[in-house]
Amino acid sequence: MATRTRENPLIAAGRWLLAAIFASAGALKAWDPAATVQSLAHYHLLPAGLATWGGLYVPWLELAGAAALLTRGLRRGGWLLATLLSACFLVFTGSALLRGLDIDCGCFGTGPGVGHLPAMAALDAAMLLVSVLGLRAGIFGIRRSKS
Amino acid sequence: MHRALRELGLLLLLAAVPALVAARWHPRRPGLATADVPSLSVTAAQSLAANQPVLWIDARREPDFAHAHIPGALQLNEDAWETLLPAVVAVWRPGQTVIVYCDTQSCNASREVAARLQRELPMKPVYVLEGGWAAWQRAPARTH
Repeated sequence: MATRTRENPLIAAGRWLLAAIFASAGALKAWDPAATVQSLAHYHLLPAGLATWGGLYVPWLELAGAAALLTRGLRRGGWLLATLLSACFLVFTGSALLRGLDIDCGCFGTGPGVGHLPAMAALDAAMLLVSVLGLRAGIFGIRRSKS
Repeated sequence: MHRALRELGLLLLLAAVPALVAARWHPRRPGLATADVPSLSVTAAQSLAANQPVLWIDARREPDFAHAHIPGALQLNEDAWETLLPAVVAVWRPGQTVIVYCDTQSCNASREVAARLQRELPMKPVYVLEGGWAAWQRAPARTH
């Protein structure tokens, strides 16, 4: 029989922090999908059609991930989604830095000075680390508690 | 892990619903019906421009346009549509071919602008330049 284990306070803090970041970033991007699509296109990694659908879909994935991280029944899926999103964001920002692109990240909407690329790449890396730790604790922690 | 994957699938589906709603009804949705805009290669566009007056539209942002653009091109983009459109309309003549370009093949701004010109004015024929400004710069025999 599965016993509920107490969540590590650091993991819990990371979960709330990730949820807040995804919720704010998702809401700002969902507010202006056209600008989000343009931001995505500036990375020159996706064909135009895919960038359009990506700009429409990703903000809602972020919002769904944020909600899932705060919902007990969907928390593991939330960790997994947060891991995948953070990894994708890191690939985009990291590749833009490596290619020397002078673009705004577009991570928290658009506007002058919004989304300085190196800072956002560092944030993406930190989010990925927290997500992986949370995913590991969420899945393997529960598996251990079952045995 | 199976449960995490199932939850992930559910989240992907849940997120798709508002995304589809936004694609259809969001007031600031990107133009999804831009696939109908025909495109021209740089060579074909240059040939066309050599035989008839062509109105070039630069859909990039102001700093890029100010730095360099196709000779004679006018700037028009979604960010400053109302401000820039009057100058375009003043120059355009009915039946004149319009060719819109942005940075590269993967940018979407030229398709957005071309679709909006067709829809709102309506301008015809309107083409998108394949490969955009980057392809124009690479072309060996571009006209000045």
